[in-house]
Amino acid sequence: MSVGQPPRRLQPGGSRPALGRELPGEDGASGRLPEANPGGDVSFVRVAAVGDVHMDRDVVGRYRAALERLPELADVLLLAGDLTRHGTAEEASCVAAEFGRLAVPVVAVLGNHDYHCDQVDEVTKTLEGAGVVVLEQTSTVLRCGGVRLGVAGAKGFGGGFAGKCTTEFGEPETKAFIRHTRTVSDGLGAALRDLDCDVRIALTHYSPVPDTLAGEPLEIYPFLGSHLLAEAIDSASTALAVHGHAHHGAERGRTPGGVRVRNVAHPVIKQAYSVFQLSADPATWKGP
Amino acid sequence: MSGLAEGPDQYDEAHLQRLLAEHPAIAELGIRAVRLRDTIVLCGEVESPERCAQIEAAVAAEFPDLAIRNDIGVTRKNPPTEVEELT
Repeated sequence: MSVGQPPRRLQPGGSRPALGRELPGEDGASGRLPEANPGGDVSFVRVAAVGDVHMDRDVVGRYRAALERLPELADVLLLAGDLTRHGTAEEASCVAAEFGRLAVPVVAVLGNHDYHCDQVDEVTKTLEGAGVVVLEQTSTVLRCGGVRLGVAGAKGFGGGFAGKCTTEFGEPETKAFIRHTRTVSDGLGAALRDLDCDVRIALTHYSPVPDTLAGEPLEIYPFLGSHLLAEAIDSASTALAVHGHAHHGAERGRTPGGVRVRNVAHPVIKQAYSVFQLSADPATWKGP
Repeated sequence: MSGLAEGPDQYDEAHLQRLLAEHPAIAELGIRAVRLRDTIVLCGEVESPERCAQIEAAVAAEFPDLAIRNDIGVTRKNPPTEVEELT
């Protein structure tokens, strides 16, 4: 499977890493939400992403060193759900302490762990109080220099993939399960299509494709994602889909429509966050 | 190993999987627990050494007569050294 260009090494030191082109200097102003890609390069945007960080008091500060380097490396940070262990407001305050008030915008969706204690509203308010944009079938547009980066997000849900998926048939519990996936997917698709931006990213916790689940037991695929999410992503001109949830999965895949998918679950990427560089040219989004 | 011997082991593994997910202090869904004769092997990654020890203690409390091989690691958190250009 073609997955784009091989990774380029980020060079230590300097205000921005060398990536084969010279980047303009940064706007060092403080006291306001900084623009992503503040140098104003109109041709690309760089996106950092990680999911499944499962914050609690025992790990506060663990990401700090890597996050201090974030403004050198990326224009925005995406958090792909499972930000907490049990979904308590106290754990959300740990997320806020670690990922709030960073020098780049932070956009998040919640994951299944963040729902466990039925404190979703408190978790969301805590994160938003720290400046984190929390999406659920909603979107946001960030100005990254000359690029308008749109991110539409939703937790997603399970159900499985084409040919092996759950349907709205049978017991009420079964129908409710897949109906939730359909509702969330429809909401994600609408949020993506409604975006007015140059580069469009879909952010979910559950996976839209089976490709990035390779390594997980086949038996649990229906609990890891749904083809309905991929259909939503393919319904818009989407440049990249980012998800977490599958700790034993693979990093790279594509939707049936050709959109590149990246699993950024922390145990998969094995680093504080991954960085993706996207061109503002739609012709490049689906690769060679 | 006969089918009769495998049955209880499978139940133990299923019990462990539920324990690690539903234990109010743990909530780990990404740990694999396999019973090999008199030993339970634990594999996966967590966010801190404390969580690794916490899982081992919970499993030991549930199965005090079995040995535990704890192969759980702590996920690295270094900043990235590469960018993936999606062009």
